[in-house]
Amino acid sequence: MSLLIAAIATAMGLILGTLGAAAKLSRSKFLNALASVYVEVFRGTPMIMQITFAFLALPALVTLILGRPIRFNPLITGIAAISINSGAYTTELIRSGINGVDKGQFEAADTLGLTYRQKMRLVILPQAFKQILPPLVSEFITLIKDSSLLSTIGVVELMKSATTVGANYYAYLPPLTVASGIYLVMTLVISAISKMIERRLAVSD
Amino acid sequence: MIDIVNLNKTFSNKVEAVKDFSLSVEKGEVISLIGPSGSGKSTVLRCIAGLETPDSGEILINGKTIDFANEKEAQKQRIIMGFVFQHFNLFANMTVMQNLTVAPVNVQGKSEEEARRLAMKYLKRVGLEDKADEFPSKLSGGQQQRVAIARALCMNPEIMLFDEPTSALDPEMIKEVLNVIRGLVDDGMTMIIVSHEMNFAREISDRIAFLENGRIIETGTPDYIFNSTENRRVKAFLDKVL
Ligand SMILES: Nc1ncnc2c1ncn2[C@@H]1O[C@H](COP(=O)(O)OP(=O)(O)OP(=O)(O)O)[C@@H](O)[C@H]1O
Ligand SMILES: [Mg+2]
Repeated sequence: MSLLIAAIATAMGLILGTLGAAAKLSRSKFLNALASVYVEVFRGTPMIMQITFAFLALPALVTLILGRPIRFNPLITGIAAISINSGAYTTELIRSGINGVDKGQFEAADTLGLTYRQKMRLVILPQAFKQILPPLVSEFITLIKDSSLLSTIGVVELMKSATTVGANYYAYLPPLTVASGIYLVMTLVISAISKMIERRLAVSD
Repeated sequence: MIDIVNLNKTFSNKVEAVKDFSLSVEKGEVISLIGPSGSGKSTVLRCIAGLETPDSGEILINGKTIDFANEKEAQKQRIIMGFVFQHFNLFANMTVMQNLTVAPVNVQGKSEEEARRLAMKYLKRVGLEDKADEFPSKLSGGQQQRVAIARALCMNPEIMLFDEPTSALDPEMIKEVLNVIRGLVDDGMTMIIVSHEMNFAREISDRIAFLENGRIIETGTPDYIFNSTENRRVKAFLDKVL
């Protein structure tokens, strides 16, 4: 479950981050500002605050607008909150990755007549992606760990399961130790996979 | 084929890189731009290729003015130009073959197979058919530049623009690149070339333009520029570099 939450959030974060980076790099001042506010707000407040806000405060706001009481699904709300948070970090990652690509690569694509989208898709993003893969993986690992924050709004993920089991059997040591072990195995496996991908991408170096 | 009329370009830092620059290039003509460092040679070439937008002036391709405000249309008009950079700028994430086929396939809509055939033809021409599956980082500078020339040729250009194609190369690699360019001249390719290789410019050019502070201050045949001009600044420059 934790893995699923993190995977969905990373994927959504990647999409939001790509959009965010596109907005930040666009020539529209409005989009620049919008993306900056997004990044600053979600990087500048604690994730647990964002999750709690989305689950407890937002429904009140929506209730006010709709005029009838509404309750958010904790799992969906939680994943959405983590995704949006991750998107803010990923925006900065992708932006810096794109800025790190040599200017000559953009210019060569321009002189060959590639459109903006083709240039980005075929030339720039693959090179940027290679640079940002390591920090992106560490973002994924952070999200696996941060998914435990969703236990605070009642989502049953690894952390919550462990404490529930602990409460039922009046023994916290075994379930929490096992849960910690599982977190560790997940993150170690992901690190190993990413090293493998990095090695494969290194063929063009 | 290309007419440049009163081109001006001032950078945001107030450097007036190009001033009232005019030049006409006929089909099959080879024109060299020479002049001291910072005289605006690259900026002129980059304005022609659309990498910089001039502040004023006109560029006409086969009699048709480029509309700088309409970027998409301008890029389409410029499809007849091939550009070769000082630093090659091969796509680092692609093999040599992919570098050569990406634009023909995506811009001209050629089939993958047709593009590959064309790529092999030009790779043979620059003597690198055995490097098709290498990544650029595995090639020497001279080889990378020859691939870059082949990449531009795959788009079937009517005119080639070269910005100091050998300046980033070790001496022993300069020759192989110049030989490729010489081959294009023999085939009648139209070109504008910025070069510090004075002897090469003298050998291949129909016309040489000498730039200083963003202006052409002297222009003529190689023989005129190298032997009979009375312009003191041109003479001083040539004395220094020859
Ligand atoms: N992007 C830029 N921003 C600001 N100034 C620039 C820029 N590009 C060039 N310049 C300035 O414009 C002037 C002309 O530069 P340009 O590169 O066209 O000269 P060049 O003749 O090609 O010189 P070189 O022989 O050294 O390549 C120089 O003073 C240069 O510093
Ligand atoms: Mg230059």
